[in-house]
Amino acid sequence: MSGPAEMMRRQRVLAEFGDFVLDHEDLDEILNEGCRLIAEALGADLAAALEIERERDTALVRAGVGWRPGIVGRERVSLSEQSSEAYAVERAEPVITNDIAREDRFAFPAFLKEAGVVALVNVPIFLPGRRPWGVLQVDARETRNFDQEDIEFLKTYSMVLGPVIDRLRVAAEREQARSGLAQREERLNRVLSGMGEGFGLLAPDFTILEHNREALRLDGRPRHEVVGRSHWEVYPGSEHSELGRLLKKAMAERVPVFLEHQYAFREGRARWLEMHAYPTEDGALAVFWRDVSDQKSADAAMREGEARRRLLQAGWETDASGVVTADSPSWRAYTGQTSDEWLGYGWLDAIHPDDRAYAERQWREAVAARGIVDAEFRLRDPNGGWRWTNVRAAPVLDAEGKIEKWTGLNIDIDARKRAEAALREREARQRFLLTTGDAMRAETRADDKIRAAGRQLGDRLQASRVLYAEYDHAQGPAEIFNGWLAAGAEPFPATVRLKDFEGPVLDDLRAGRTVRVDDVGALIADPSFAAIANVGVQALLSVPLVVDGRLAVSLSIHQDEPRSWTDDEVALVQEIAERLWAEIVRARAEQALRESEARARLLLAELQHRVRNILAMVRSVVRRTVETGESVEQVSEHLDGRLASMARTQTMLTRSAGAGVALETLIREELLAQNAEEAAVILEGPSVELTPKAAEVLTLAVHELATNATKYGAFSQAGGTLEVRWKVESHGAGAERLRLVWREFGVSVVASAPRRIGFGTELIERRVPYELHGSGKLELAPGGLRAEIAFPLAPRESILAPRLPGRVSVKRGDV
Amino acid sequence: MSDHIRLEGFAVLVLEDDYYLADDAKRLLEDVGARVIGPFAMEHPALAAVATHKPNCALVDINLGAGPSFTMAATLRSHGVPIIFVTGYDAEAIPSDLRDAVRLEKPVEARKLLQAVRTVCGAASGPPKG
Repeated sequence: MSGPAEMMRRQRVLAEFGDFVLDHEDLDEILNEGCRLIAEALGADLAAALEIERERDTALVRAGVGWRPGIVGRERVSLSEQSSEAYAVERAEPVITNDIAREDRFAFPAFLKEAGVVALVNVPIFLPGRRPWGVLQVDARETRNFDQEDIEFLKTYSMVLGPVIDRLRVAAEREQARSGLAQREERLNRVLSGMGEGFGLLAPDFTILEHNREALRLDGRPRHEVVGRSHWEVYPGSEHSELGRLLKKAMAERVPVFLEHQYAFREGRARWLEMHAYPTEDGALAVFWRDVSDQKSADAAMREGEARRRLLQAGWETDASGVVTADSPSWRAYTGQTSDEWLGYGWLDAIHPDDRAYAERQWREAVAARGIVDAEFRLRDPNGGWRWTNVRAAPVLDAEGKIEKWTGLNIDIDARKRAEAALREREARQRFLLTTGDAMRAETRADDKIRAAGRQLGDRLQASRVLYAEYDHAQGPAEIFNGWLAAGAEPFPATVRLKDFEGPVLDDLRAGRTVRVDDVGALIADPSFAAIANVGVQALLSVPLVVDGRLAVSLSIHQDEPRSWTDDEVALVQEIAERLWAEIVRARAEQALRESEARARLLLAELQHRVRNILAMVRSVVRRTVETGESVEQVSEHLDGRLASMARTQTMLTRSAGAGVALETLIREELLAQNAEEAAVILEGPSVELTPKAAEVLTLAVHELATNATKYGAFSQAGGTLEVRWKVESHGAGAERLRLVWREFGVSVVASAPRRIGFGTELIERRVPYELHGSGKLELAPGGLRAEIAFPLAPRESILAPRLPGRVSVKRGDV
Repeated sequence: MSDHIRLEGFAVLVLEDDYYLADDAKRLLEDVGARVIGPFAMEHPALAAVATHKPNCALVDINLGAGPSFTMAATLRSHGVPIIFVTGYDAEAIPSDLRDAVRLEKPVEARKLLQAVRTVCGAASGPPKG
């Protein structure tokens, strides 16, 4: 680069780009403008931004300037071993080719040569998190030496591009997910998933195109075993059944059809289904199923009940006081009691223990009140278990109106009661899923969603803990979120090492199988179960979600005492786990977008601040230089030197983000700029890293001293020497102070006497105390100039400033 | 340039961590008769000076080397001292409760700075005395 004017121009290019980015949302526009500015700033003929396409191992010329039509958006470079682009990305460093003809490391694509490119630089672009996005390329049609400043400038530029691209990419993905087809599809899918009815879509050749959640639940198979396959294959026997005939008719004649039929799913589960099929406009068939088994069995129960009423009913009589004295063969057949067991109040033993007190009370109250009995309770089934019965009894009066005896009848109502319970259960389940879904959606943050789902599940299942775990296979640990804790339950550790729990449970989870353990204590011989029992778990239900073939998360319900998990509970937890996972993925994507946007905004704001500050400083330095009243030539010379020195500071600061500036390097670069004879110079001091602020002030101070030495001091006459010595003084408790002494020897006082007190003096004696909170002194001693600068080494950081360690690193230099 | 602007009787606090910019502001203000409190490179001594020197208004740089900070601006506000931001940041970087303050963008033209001081100081304290 040539001089401070160029440097300022480039800073302005960065600032202009910052403004452009703030005003534009389209990535291609931004990249094209970025290429235009960079080509202009570097005086190059062409520039391009290439985006990596992983799946094809190429990079697309996404944007560019100077290329003939048909290149941008079309041409690709291979990311093979011989590609300079791939090399730059792999090395995470700019790669320079000053002359293609003399380059033997790489092969270049034809379009590059056709465009007459002779020299080029590839600078990798990384998204936050060091994810490679692509390459920024600057091309020239003549051989050219890209120098260090060019490279530093390009690195800064690509550093700014990374977060900008990331922000737009994340936004674009979200936009795509939300807009147009995707949005409609999502809405439809939600409707389809949310409805309690099964829905499927059949292609004209009867391939299953879609099955909603309820359809898959009815079927009991995972989606990939159903969708994409032929209906006839998935449902064996359906093709030549009444169902098959109707579906074919609907497809061929484009008419709706309806069928109520019983279908035996795998594992012998037979369900009654109500099927409606409607032809769609695009030639497919929309099929709806409703599981009417419960209704059917309720209907059947009625009919069955009629039949059973003849079989399972019992007639009996008691004496006037309600005590059984007569045998009842039908009661004995119904309950399996012997006549001895039945007599007296022995019949109570045939009633379910939970219902017994109720039944006895109903009976005694009716007898006392001479009323009618109508009660429902459970009676022992001689074949095992219990059956619901309805008992009706009434007193039989004699001619005088006195009770002669009681007569009663038991009717079996078991089928009806069970069908009713199943219906209630289904309704409650549907309500629970809706409530839980709403509770999760109401939260925006992932862990709040986990807590919302946990609270619902914990409450419904009366669990002691609900845990959501995420697995990191590369690292070994699992991260655990305590979604819900019952009163008094110990929280689970936030992270656990998977190797402590290796065993059947983890094996099952990894294979995608739900784990259901009723009594951990019974399995305690296995060390992995012992570990589980050890964290207060006596019963465990754990549902895994496997993503891309790997166990990603699990949702677990813990109980501090043994319990028996029902199929319904397992299905419920599976369903919630899936929904929770989907909710969390969405929440995180939105969170990532918000963070990425904030990061890009922050970076741009810092950039604006820096550039504007530098411009203000330059103006002030120019005025101060002019104010000395020197000749135009002298002013111009001083100005050139000072701006060049300021430019060097900026270069050093951007060279390696994440590190400070080494004091010794700083001094050497300034001396080098003066062409000072190395032999006449002694530098000695420990290695010290400076903050950006200290580096900025010291660079200019050393520049002024070195310029003075060249004109009037140690470098102006034979025999003159310079010693620069520095040390770090400790003032206890991390307070360290740098003391630097610049001393010239062998300089005749006559030569140095007419030195003006001006810019340099003010810099050392006023700016150092003001900005670095230290002290500075400049004096003319016998033999030459002596300057002493001291200031505390407290790291002061800004967002773009390098992050320095709490202590400066100090090691003895060997100068 | 700014011959007709005079600021005698006004006390202006200057908070700016760059020596050159701070010194420029001080010289500029003193040339037109104002009294300068500071300049200060750090918030701490500036805060102490607010109570003892009772400035009519203050020029405040947002970033004193450790990222944007609004402690000083908020404190000045609570003491009833009107502020003028002199900064390289855009308006969005300023918290909404301070966004009504005048914001001058670096590099600041001398004339604009003096006009802002006259308007802001004057509005707070009436016409300058003496």
